[in-house]
Amino acid sequence: MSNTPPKHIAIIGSGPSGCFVAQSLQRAWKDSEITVFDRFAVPYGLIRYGVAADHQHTKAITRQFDRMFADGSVRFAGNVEIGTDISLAQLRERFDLVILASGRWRDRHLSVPGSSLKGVIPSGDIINALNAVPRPSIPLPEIGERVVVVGAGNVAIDMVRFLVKTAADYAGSDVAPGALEQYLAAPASAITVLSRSPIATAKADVAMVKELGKIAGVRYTFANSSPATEDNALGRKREDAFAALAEIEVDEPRAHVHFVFGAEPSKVTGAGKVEQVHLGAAPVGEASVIPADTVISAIGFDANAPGHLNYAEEFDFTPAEESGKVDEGLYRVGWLKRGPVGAIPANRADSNVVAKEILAAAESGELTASLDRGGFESLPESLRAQSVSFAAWQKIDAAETAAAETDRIRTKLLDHEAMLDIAHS
Amino acid sequence: MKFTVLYGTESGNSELIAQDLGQKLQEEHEATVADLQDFEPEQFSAEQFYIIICSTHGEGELPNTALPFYEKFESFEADLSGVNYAMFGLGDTFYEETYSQGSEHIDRRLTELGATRIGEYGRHDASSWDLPSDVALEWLPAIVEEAASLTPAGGTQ
Ligand SMILES: Cc1cc2nc3c(=O)[nH]c(=O)nc-3n(C[C@H](O)[C@H](O)[C@H](O)COP(=O)(O)OP(=O)(O)OC[C@H]3O[C@@H](n4cnc5c(N)ncnc54)[C@H](O)[C@@H]3O)c2cc1C
Ligand SMILES: Cc1cc2nc3c(=O)[nH]c(=O)nc-3n(C[C@H](O)[C@H](O)[C@H](O)COP(=O)(O)O)c2cc1C
Repeated sequence: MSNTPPKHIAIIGSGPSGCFVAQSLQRAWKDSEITVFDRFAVPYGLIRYGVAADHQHTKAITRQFDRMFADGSVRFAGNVEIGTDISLAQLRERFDLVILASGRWRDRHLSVPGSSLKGVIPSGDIINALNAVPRPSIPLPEIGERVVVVGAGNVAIDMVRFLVKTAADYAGSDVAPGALEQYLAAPASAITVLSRSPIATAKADVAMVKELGKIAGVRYTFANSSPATEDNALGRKREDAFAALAEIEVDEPRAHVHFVFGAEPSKVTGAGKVEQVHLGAAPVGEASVIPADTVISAIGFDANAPGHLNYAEEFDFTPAEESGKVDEGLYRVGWLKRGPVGAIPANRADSNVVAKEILAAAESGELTASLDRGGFESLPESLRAQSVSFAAWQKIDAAETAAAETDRIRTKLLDHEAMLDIAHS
Repeated sequence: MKFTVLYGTESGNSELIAQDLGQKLQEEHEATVADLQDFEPEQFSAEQFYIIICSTHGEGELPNTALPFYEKFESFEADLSGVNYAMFGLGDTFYEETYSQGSEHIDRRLTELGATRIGEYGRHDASSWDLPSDVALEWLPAIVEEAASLTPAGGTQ
C-alpha cells in the first residue's frame, strides 16, 4: 500500500532550517510542490541578516539553496508575512502540510539596575544596522569610546571584531556602509569584555578567538577566574588562544581589549546615561568599577520573547528536541523548534530529523494529498502578486551587487519598499 | 566499473556534491551514493571504486555524519590492498591552520590499511566563490579515466 504524499507544502521562513527541510522533502517527494514563504523580500533569514557581514565564507552555504530555488524544484515567495498577509489557518486550508521555520531571535536583555540607562544597547540593534535589516530599518545606535561588552559567546566576539576593525578590514564584506561610517568616525578605544564563566567554559569558538589576533593594531589582555581542568581539552585550547592574543606585540595600539572572565555586572550607573559599570564578582586584582559610556549586551537570546509568534498563539512553542509535530499537518523546525541555540549546520540535522518524521507520517497515511487543497495557485491573486519570486529576488541581488562599493561584494538595500520596487519592476 | 560515492557532511555541501557526482557517473556506470553514517568499514571491497567526499568541521576534524563511521574505522583492522579510491575534501581557507583536514583523517586510515588513492586529491574552498559541485564535476573525469584504467578486482596495476 502506498499513500499519496502531501502534494502542496508550505514552509514559513527561508532561513537555513526552512531551506534544509525543503531540500529534504523535495528529494523524497519529487512531485510535491513546495513553497517557502518569508516576510522579507529576500531569502535566507539570519544567514543574510544575522551572520556577521565580514564572515561571507559562512554565508557561502546559501549557494546550495540558490540552486534549489533556481532550478524551480522549490518556490520562493518573499514579502508574505504569515499572520499579517494571510493567517496560518487560511494557509493550512490550502496546503496539505505546513512547516513553521520562522526562527526566533530576540536578544535577552540585561536586567541589572541601570540597564535602561541611555547607552545600554542590545547587540541585536547593532547587528541589524550592520546587516541592513530592512523591516524595519533601524539606524546604528550611538557607540562611545569606552565600551563594555557583556557576554563572551560568538555574538559577543562578533561585537568585539566590529569594535576594533578598520574600514580596510571589511574588504569582501557587505557591511552597511552608512552604519560603518558612523561608527568609524569615532571608534571605541577601550573595550572591556565581561564573561560570567571562566575561559574553560566560555561559549566562543576557538577559531573566533584566534581570528581577533589577525586584526592589526589592537592590544589584548585578559584576566581569568579559574583555569581549565586537565581533561578539558577544548577549554585548554581556548585558554591557549587567549594567551596567544595577549602575546601579540603592538606599538601604539588603536584600541585595547581587556577580557575579564568570571565577572558579571551588578549595576550600571550614571546621570541619565551610562558612566560606570560595577562588577559583582571579578578575579583578584581586577577593578570593580569600569568607566564606560556604552554597554553592549550579547548574553544570548530569549526563547520566549513575545511578538513574532503571534500568528500561531494557540500553539505551544516551548523549545523541544523531540518531535517537530505541532498539530495534524503542522510541523516546526530549526530555532522555532529547538530554541535560539546552535549554528547553521545544527539546523540541517534538525530539519533532516523532522523531514523523516514527516515522511513516516505520510507513510502511515496520517498525511496525504487532498484535492481540496490547491496550494500556492489557490492563494488570492493579490497575495500571489505581492509575493517576491526567486527570479524577482535575483533582480534585487543584481541591484545590490551592482551598487557595491570598491572592495565590497554588495551594498544591501536598506528599505523594504525599495526592494519591492526592484523586484516588481 | 562500479562506483560508490560516500559523503560526510554537516551543512550539506558534501551531500550535494556526492549526489551530483553520483548522477553524472550513472550516465555511464553503475554508481551508488551513501552517507558515511550508513556505511560500515567491513563493506569496503575491491570490486568497487570509492569516491569519498568529506568536509572539515571543528578544528580540522570530521563532520558529524562521518564521525560514527570514523570511530569504527579507526579501530577497524583488515587488509584493504586492492581497494582503490579517490578523495575530495571540503574546507575553508579561512581556517588557515586546519584547512581541508577533515577528509585527510579518512585518507590516512585508508592508506594505513593498504588501500590506494588514485588521481589528484580534490579540494573545495568555501571562501572561494566556486560552486562546490562545479569544482567536483570538473575534477571527476580524470578520476573516472584513471579508475577505468585499473585492472579489475584484486589484479595488479
Ligand atoms: C547575530 C547572530 C549571528 C550568528 N552567526 C552565526 C554564524 O556566524 N555561523 C552560524 O553557523 N550560525 C550563526 N548564527 C546562528 C544561525 O543564524 C541560526 O542557527 C539559524 O539562522 C537558525 O535558522 P532558522 O531557519 O531556524 O531561523 P532564521 O534564520 O531566523 O530564519 C527564520 C525566517 O523566518 C522568517 N519569518 C519569521 N516570521 C515570519 C512570518 N510570520 N511570516 C513569514 N516569514 C517569517 C524570517 O524573516 C526569517 O527569514 C547566528 C545567529 C545570530 C542571531
Ligand atoms: C564551525 C565550523 C568549523 C569549520 N572548521 C573548518 C576547519 O577547521 N578547516 C576547514 O578547512 N574548514 C572548516 N570549516 C568549513 C567547512 O568545511 C566548509 O564550510 C564545507 O563547505 C562544509 O561542507 P559540508 O556542508 O559538507 O559540511 C568549518 C565550518 C564550520 C561551520
